[in-house]
Amino acid sequence: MAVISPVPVRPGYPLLNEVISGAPVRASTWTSAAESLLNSLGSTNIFVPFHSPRVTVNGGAATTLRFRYTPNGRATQVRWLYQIEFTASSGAPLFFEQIAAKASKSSTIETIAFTYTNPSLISQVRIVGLIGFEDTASAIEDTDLGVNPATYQIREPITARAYESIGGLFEGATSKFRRYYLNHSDSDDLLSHWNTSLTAGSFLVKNGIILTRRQVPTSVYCPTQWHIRAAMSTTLYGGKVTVTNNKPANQIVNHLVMPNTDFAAANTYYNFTMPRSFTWSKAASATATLTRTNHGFITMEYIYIDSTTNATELPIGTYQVTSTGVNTITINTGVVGTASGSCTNDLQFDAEDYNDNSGMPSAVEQFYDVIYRVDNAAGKLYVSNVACEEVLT
Amino acid sequence: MTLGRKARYDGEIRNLFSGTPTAATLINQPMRMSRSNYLVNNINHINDQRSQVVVNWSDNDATGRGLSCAFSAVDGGSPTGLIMRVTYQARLDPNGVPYPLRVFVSGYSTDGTSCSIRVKVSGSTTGSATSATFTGISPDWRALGGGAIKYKMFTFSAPVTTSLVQVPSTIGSSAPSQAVIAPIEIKVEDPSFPRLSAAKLVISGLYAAEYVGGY
Repeated sequence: MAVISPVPVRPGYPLLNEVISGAPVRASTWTSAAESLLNSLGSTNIFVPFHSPRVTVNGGAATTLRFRYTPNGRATQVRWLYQIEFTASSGAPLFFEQIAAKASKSSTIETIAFTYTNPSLISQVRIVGLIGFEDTASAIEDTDLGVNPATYQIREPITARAYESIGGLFEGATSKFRRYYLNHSDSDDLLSHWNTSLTAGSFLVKNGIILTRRQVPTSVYCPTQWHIRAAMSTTLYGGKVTVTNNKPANQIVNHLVMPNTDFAAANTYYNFTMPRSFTWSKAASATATLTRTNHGFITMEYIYIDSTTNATELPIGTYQVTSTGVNTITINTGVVGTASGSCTNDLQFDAEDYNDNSGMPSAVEQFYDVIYRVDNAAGKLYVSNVACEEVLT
Repeated sequence: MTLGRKARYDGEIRNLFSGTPTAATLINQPMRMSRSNYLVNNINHINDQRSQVVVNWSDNDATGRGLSCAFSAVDGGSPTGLIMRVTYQARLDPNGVPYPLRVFVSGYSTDGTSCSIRVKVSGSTTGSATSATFTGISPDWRALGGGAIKYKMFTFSAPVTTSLVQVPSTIGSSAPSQAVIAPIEIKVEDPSFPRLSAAKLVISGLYAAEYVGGY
């Protein structure tokens, strides 16, 4: 019985005295490399970091929590570890596991559900902890990038044929692993989940923490993508979600505007992704006009432009905005010129500093807030999921 | 002497197998050790990238939320003051040692009674850490790392206990395989439990992420 490891044990580093210049590599070495890659390509991605939904479930009832995320496309099952407690009695929490197969190894964004049915007909329980994993592809499939052991012989030099065989693994490895920063969910039950009727807004998350992964050695910030699952109590009004990175200097924000036309039916959930793209133009001026339908920005707020089609005319950086319309804002680029193009904005979360033992990029921790609000106090905005994941660049 | 404490990032492996060299040009030719070393370092880096966010929970919007030991001493409750418990599968370095874990914890006192929060990470050299005492009645991240430092790095110096579970074969064989798992447990506790009054420590947030750089 072969022993594999879904826990990605890194292969040991080659020792200098083991390196023989110009000598062939043993097939067994390649096998180890292939196994290491297999372990890396699909195992134990935490796509729902542990959190506490605090959802109560009556005896005999069921509740469903839904999570938005973009899979890495390598896993064939999801595994939930959850913690419950009885609401009406003392005692330690209880821990359970639930495993579900995935229909496909899609790498497009999806909504995945966790359903808990309370087996007790009497006692009410509360889900106080939940973590979700993606598990490795555990069996050979047509779409697997696998190694056929028949193509190599132990201690034989690797040949072009075997080289081709494990080449697929290396190709698979060239696509990066997405990291999941946040995935909070509440029940889909309208009666119990997060809601607000405040036009001034309520906190969905206050003082949350996100430290991004440094994708390349020169990265200081790495972009994030936010997903929201929301419903409105009426089709007459809409809502808005704002994420603020509370940086010590300029607080960077981004908005998701959900007009009432986005809610075709009342009390029904819809999935939203916070937009990141603009088109921009400027005419013999340093002032650039950025255009996005329902951008949501308010004059004096700060925006961080993290990519642009013309970094000379619209340099990457932080700008204070002036709102000139529902769909337009202006910023001072500091460069007089005539140009146009497209750009993206981001929340400028710091990346880990791999040169530091703690990984912290600065001595001052940075926190973020997520605020949701309604257009009109006569409406109620429900949110059942807020998620943040890495944007692979 | 090793070639590097950390995996050296040699850049993405692009077009290595879809471009040249081709199978036709390399038929039955061995690969140089230096080239394989380059690839192994890239594999190591890919593994490094897998460090993940294990916990991200923040219930800091208002008092009255969060988790606590449900009942005071007179009602019973967990004798250890256990409030949260998280289990995850650690990623391991070549020696079988898990990567360090960076932990933040948030909490408040329901009535201003002095409180602290204890975090335990199984198998870690650090073992446990207790936050500085606080009397705040609003949720906030508490100093867990000594002084004013909010985060605590839990480090590991020895391989953790692993166990084997049976899984279908991964690499082409019909025989079943066994998978190694290395479960790590994070516990958040009230070190003053059981309390003799109605005062409670409430945990309102927890963040834990693996870290692979630096050390």
